[in-house]
Amino acid sequence: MNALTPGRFALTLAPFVLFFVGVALLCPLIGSVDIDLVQALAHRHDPSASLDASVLFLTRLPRILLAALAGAALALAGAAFQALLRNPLAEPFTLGVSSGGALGAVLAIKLGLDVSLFGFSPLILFSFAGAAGTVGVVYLLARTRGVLSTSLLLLAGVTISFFFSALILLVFYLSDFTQTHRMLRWMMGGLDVIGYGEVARLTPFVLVGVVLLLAHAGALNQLSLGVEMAAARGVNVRRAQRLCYFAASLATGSVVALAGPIGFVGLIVPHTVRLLIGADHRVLLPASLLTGAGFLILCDTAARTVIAPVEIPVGILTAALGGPFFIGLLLHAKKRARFWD
Amino acid sequence: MSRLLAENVTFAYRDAPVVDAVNLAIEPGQMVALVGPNGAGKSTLLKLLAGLLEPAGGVVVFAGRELAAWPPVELARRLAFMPQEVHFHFPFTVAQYVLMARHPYRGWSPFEDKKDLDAARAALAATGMDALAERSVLELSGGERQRATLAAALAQAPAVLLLDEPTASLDLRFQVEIYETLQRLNRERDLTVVAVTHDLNLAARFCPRLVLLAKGRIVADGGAADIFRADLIARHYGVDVEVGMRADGVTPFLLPGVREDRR
Repeated sequence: MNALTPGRFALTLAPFVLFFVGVALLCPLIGSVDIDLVQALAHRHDPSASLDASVLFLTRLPRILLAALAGAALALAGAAFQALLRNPLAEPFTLGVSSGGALGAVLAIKLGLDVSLFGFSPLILFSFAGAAGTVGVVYLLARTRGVLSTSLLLLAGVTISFFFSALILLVFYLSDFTQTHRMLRWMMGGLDVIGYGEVARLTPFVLVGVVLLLAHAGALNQLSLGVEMAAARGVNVRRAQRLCYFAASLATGSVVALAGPIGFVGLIVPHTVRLLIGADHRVLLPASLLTGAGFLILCDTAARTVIAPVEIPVGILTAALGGPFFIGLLLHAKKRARFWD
Repeated sequence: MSRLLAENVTFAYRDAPVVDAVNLAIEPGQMVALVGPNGAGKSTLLKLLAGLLEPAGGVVVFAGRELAAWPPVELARRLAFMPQEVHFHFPFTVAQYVLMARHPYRGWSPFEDKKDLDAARAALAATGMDALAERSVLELSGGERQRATLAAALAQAPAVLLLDEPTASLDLRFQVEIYETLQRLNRERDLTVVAVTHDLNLAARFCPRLVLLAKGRIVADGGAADIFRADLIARHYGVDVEVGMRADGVTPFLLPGVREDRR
């Protein structure tokens, strides 16, 4: 029998760290333009002076950072929502965060607003507001005597999702062709940013969510067994539920606002990691975070290179790459009788 | 003294009280069975005693301090609760599941130490689950799940163990084994045990004290001989019973007869 000691923790996470670091170092070198790394690094203080440096530092690195941030947040939030809802099929968008965000985004496009706040575009502001509003409404609907009911959360989240989907379709219907195209493109998800501004502004939001969730890994273990069990072991259920719910929602909502609803990462990454190293959230959460970051960097690299110079929206690729991989993994797990119902 | 005391405790899910002005004192080192017909309020009373439900009226006091005033972690080191059933959704190993019960001892550290490991090992051995330690909880049979959950409750190293039907899905042998384990811990380590059960004979065999609940009230409290009275059982269960005496001349047993309304 093995207890989780610092040594074992490090040993379990080491392959995931290697995967992430490897991907993060290699992918900036891959792209439609071949770059001279020596040239690029020589101009690192003034990237715009050299083509190599500007491609590396102004085009690819910001994207890779955003992909890492988004992938990490979505995978971590997915794992947290699965524990919180005690449902392995949950993912970051189950409770309607993405449809709330999408409704905000399509409204911003439809209204053609031109306001910005703290450097955020109206598209980002509106989709974040939409996501935040959804999170709040679902929370209020699901709370009974301070405790969140998992079944009410699911019901409220799914219902709000459908409701907003109908509103989104209505806005689509009332929009002209150009607007509809922009909206559709937004909903496919994309990480095409230029420069570090948006990434830097997104980071604090995601970071708060990430830190809170990692700090609650032990409590999530207990909550995954049920509210009563958690309470009997001294977990402050109300506080833990509330913090985890808002932390996971904050991370998800800010990613959705900046990059659109990138599906699948939040579902398959935690599952894959769980099949590899088990269900203990103290290792599952950090491992999912690293894997999610690496996976989305890979997907985005493929998105911008496979049929270059045309880009495939990354949300399409996550599903296209992740789907078959995950099915393969399930078949393998089934063969070894490690699957569950 | 680590006495567990319910004073005039009332609880209602909707309007009708499920637990109705109950007064009950569990002394340290006692082994008590809470019995009674379905819907008598046994499980609710147990959850009130565990601090998992807040009484609508009255107070539950543990070691001289109202449950609500205990820091949750401090209480969890002294009071463990074993629910009727735990639904697993994730593939924890049995060992992980049992180690998770050490949560109240870990503070802010996410890691386990040797003490946690020792407690978990002892708990697995006491419940005969050591051979299954690396098995996924999703692959356990109903009985194994029950024993794993008992092992977890023991690993929590409480002074008082509250169990909701600990032998519900176990066969005869494991029923006896679980109660023997509880009895041994009760005798050797002075573990206070309060178990909700439907098995009156098992309760009589292992628990020196039985508390009979009906309609949210305590209607009898004492040794098996005080509870195993045909009139009492007939009144509250609506079943005729035959009461016999085991060969030891101390422990009564009970055989169900005819339902009262069919007589």
